Amino acid sequence: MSILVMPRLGETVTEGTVIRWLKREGEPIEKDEMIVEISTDKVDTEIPAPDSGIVNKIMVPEGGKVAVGTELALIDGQAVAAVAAPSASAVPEPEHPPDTGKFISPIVRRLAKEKNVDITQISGTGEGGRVTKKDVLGYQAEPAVQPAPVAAEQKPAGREEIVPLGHIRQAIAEHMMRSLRTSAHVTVIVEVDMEKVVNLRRAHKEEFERQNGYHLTYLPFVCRALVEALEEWPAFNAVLDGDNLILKHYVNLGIAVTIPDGLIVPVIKGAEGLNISGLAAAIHDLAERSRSEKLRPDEVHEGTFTITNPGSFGSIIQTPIINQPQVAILSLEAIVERPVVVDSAIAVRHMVNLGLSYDHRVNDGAGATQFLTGIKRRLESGDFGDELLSPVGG
Amino acid sequence: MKDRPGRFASGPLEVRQLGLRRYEETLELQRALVAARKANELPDQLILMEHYPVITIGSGGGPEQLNVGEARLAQLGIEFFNVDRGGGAAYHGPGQLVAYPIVDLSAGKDLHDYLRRLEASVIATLAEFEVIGARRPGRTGVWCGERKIASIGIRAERWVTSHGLSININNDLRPFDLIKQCGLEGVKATSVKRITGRELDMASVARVFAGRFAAVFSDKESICRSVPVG
Repeated sequence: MSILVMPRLGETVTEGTVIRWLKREGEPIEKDEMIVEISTDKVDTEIPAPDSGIVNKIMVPEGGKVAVGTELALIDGQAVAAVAAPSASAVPEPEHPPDTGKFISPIVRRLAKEKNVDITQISGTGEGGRVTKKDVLGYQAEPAVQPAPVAAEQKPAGREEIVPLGHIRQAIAEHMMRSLRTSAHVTVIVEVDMEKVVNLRRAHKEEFERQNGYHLTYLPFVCRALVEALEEWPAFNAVLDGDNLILKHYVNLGIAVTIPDGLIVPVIKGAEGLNISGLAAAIHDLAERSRSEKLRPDEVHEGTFTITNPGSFGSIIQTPIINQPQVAILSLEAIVERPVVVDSAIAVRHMVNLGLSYDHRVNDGAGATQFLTGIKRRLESGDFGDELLSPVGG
Repeated sequence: MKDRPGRFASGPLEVRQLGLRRYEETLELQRALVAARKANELPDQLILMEHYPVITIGSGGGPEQLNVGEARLAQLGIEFFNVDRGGGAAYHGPGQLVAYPIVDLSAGKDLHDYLRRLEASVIATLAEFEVIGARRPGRTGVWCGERKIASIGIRAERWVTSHGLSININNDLRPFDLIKQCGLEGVKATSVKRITGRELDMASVARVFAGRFAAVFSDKESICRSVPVG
């Protein structure tokens, strides 16, 4: 069985899309005959079969995106070899055996049969672990001795590695640099006493988890306070378009979510209509589907403001980069117990830093600080109790 | 771009100037040239022409990239084809230079490097007419600011290329409103005429392009250093 893999079609080509299979499962194919059409960026190309045989299995459907090296199809070479029954000298061994070690050439197979050797018991020493004629003969001479480990595996470990950036990473890189070139970034940070919110969450978290099946985190509380502040200070819930500032009188709140390939920002549309339970449900749903790659394309667009939560990894100060074309972004840092002065006495309180990066083209320090302290006051009031009782809506 | 041996080290480049042609006619010509190039009966080819108004959509797009129905296109006298190249919707019309290189890439085997060199050929050509074009990362084609001046869509069979690129020189840009260029909303087109206010002689533009193309593919070091690339 030989395997067709997505070939590297150029130094910077890391992936492609299967456009069309030119052969179906069960159809015979000749080595070098075109088997599939692949598209990468603005180029379509046909890929030849690595070997003659029967197309045994197609592993990627039309429209599927694949990374270089992905297995695309299995080609069963023996099906043809059995029919052709060529003489030993007439069949050249394939020049480019697959890497899997599963391929066994017709000559080797016949030799094994002649010598009555179970070919599956032999560790191949050929390219990619392939069983060669020598292996079959060697196995027969010393059946009890396992062949030595493959020499190719002992190559010295490299101290450098070239890792091509995937398309998500490239998109993030492009977006971040564009944002830095576009906006005049300033970051302002306030410290928030979360004691009341911590107590509130503690009081409700078990009941909440029992009702909803997921944890109640601090993020929905901060989002709620943020949404209210955005309604009061719309200059932060806006898009700059040339010389015009477009104020949005609705809040589409982007939530930065860490995924294996990087970061994605799904958007809670109409976040101003959701209470804490509703926000918690929306965040949970979007985060889950971000990680399982089940977001719809429209769910990552049209955000009016973005919140990022590096505190979940322990950071206490971060200066986030604005998600263009928005004009500000809020970072929620880790909630930590700190000694603070309350009523002229030292007390231990749950404290958190909120960082706001804003575009100084659009807003100034005075406005940004008022907006941010608005969020702070709302959180410190701790007045969210009712919102946890009803599961959704608002 | 990295150092690579010149593309045409092993053979000459034949350039054919076809003038104004219907799209379908050149599609057939390309198929014949690709077959001949694959069989090594011909050296690398560069065919240059203008098209009568036509909209084509490659494998990267679908009918959603048309902003009007096919019936409306027919009314406007614009032909429509779905074609076997990469990329999405493209418009071609008189006053736009269209280049279809039928070249064998098997020496370098790098499809994206080919795209980058096509862009370099266009940028070098535009520079000759005092227009500064640039690449945009992740947006194949050549751009002047936020507007697109040249589009690229390629097919390769056994590393022999077909289809190619178009550069807006003197052409009417209004038909671009009928499509979503590169499948993206709001991508606007520009042309040499729009930027410089001058109409260029198409035969001269074709000659300059052929020269820059040959230079980029045989001696890219010198050309890459002499032109601004984004």
